[in-house]
Amino acid sequence: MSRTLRKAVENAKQKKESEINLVEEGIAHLEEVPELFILHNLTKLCLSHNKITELPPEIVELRSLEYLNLFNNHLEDLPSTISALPRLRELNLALNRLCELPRGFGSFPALEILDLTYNNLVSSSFSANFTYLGGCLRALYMGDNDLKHFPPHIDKFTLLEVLVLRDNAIVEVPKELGKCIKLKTLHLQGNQIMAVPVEFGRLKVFGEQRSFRLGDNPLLPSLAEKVKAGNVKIFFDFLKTEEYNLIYLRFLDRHEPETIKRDKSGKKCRKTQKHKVPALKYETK
Amino acid sequence: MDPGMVCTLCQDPFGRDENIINSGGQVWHEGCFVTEGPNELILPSNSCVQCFQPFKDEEFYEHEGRKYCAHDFHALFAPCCSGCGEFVVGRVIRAMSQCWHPNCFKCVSCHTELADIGFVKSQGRPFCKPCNAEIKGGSKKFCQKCSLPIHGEHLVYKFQIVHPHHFNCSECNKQLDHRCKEREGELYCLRCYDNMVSAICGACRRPIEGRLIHALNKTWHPEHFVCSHCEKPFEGRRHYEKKGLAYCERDYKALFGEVCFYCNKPCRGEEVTVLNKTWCIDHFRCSACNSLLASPRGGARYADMDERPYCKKCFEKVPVELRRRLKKQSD
Repeated sequence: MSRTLRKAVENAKQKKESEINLVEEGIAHLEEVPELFILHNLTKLCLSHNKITELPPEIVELRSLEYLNLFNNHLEDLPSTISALPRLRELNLALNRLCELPRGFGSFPALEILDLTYNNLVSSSFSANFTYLGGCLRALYMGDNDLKHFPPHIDKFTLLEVLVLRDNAIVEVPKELGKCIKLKTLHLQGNQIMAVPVEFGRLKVFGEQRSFRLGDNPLLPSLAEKVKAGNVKIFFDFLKTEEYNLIYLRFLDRHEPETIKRDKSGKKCRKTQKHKVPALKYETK
Repeated sequence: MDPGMVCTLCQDPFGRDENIINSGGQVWHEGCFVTEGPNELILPSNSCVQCFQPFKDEEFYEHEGRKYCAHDFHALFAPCCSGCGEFVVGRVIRAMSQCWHPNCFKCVSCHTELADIGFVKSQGRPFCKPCNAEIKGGSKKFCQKCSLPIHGEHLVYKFQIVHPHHFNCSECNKQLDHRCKEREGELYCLRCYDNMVSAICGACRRPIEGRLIHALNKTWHPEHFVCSHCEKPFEGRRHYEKKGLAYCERDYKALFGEVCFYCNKPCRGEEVTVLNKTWCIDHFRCSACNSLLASPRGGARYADMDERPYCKKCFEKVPVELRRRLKKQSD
């Protein structure tokens, strides 16, 4: 319904409004209303629950944009220009059909909150400079994707307060995560994690206004027992003990891989037109 | 030449080679057309003796046997109003040895017309009787500078009651009102006065000259307005107040920790603390549709996914398969 969009754009232009909210309006093609991209004063654009498959590269013209919400659309691709939005602070791309991130995606100068929940991203989807986001990102939501590894160079994300990697296929937790000392919320439930590195003990993800989740993983019995008990502090204290150090070393030395079988073929975001999402296989050595 | 043409003055015809004076549609012998000097009386009878122009519409004024056009008669003989300076035609009010239009002769205090109600002369100015009574009774104040009554607030300057508008600020030259202040014999507007004297630094207690900062209901030298914790001057950066003390953003965050998850600044005004995070009440919005979730009277309604808030409507649009998994995990 480009008519609704056109009307909203004209309205914003006349009244010099800085926000456009078009939720569940059946919008599919933003390029039909090129006038949208001359609204240089627009700070908030909310287009959630629509049918947008493609974001025109002209999006970069919205140079005042601080908030862009494309929650629950049909996006399969992003234009590489998107990362040049100079003031963007929150980008919500949850519930789309993204299979990869465009080149240079890491060059957002001011991005603080990035939501990529429920897409088709895999470990190779990250752009080469994704690490650059570490200089500004405070919250990264990547639950419900197909990652086998953590985002690369996670130790560079020193400002990170929230990291959600729920329901991926992560096998290994990098010891560099111990350097993300600002982390308050860490959700790793629903992965294929068997053990966490000793350096994990440094994290302060327990206490007031903090949260830590590691359930639904094929954890080593000694860890599983602590997680099940539900006291995060006891869990983290255990990580610092000599006992766990030995357990972890033995685990690194020789471990029988274990996986939990999961079927994610029912995910709505699998309905892509351009990309074929390979069926996820859990490797066993 | 028309042979029947005659001189306007002597009514004689003209000679064959004689010069004829033609003026205003009328003709004269050269000798009969005299424009100035003692011969003015012999001017044609339908012209003004002052400007020699014929009367418009035959309208003229006669004074001591001479005829004048309306403009010249007014200029020469009509009385001039002392109030507005224009000629007075019609009713003339003669009062205090001057002439007035009836509606120009007014009480200098209350501006009522005095022509028919009588007046009292006081200090060379006309007043109506009630105003005069007030003045004599002392209930009305008089400006000692312009002698006019003072309506509204007056100013006492050098022991005299005066209108404030006669004075300008000695610093910025702005016209003053009654809120001005006197300092060492000079008058200043409040703004300039404050800048000069009343600013005392809240930290060092010395007067401030030049740039000052208003904060925490006090004034400060810019270099003395510092963060209570790190003691560094704010230098124009935003400060945050807590229990009468000012903090820089970094220390406020570190000490009190109530930082909005969306704007990443210390919460101003009401805050919402749920889902292990804090938000400014205006920033606590549905993560999908951006609608406000909390009412100012409290009572936030939201659904939770990855500890992000969603409104009920948006959460219902999340795939059932995902919602089921989330529910299973939270159990």
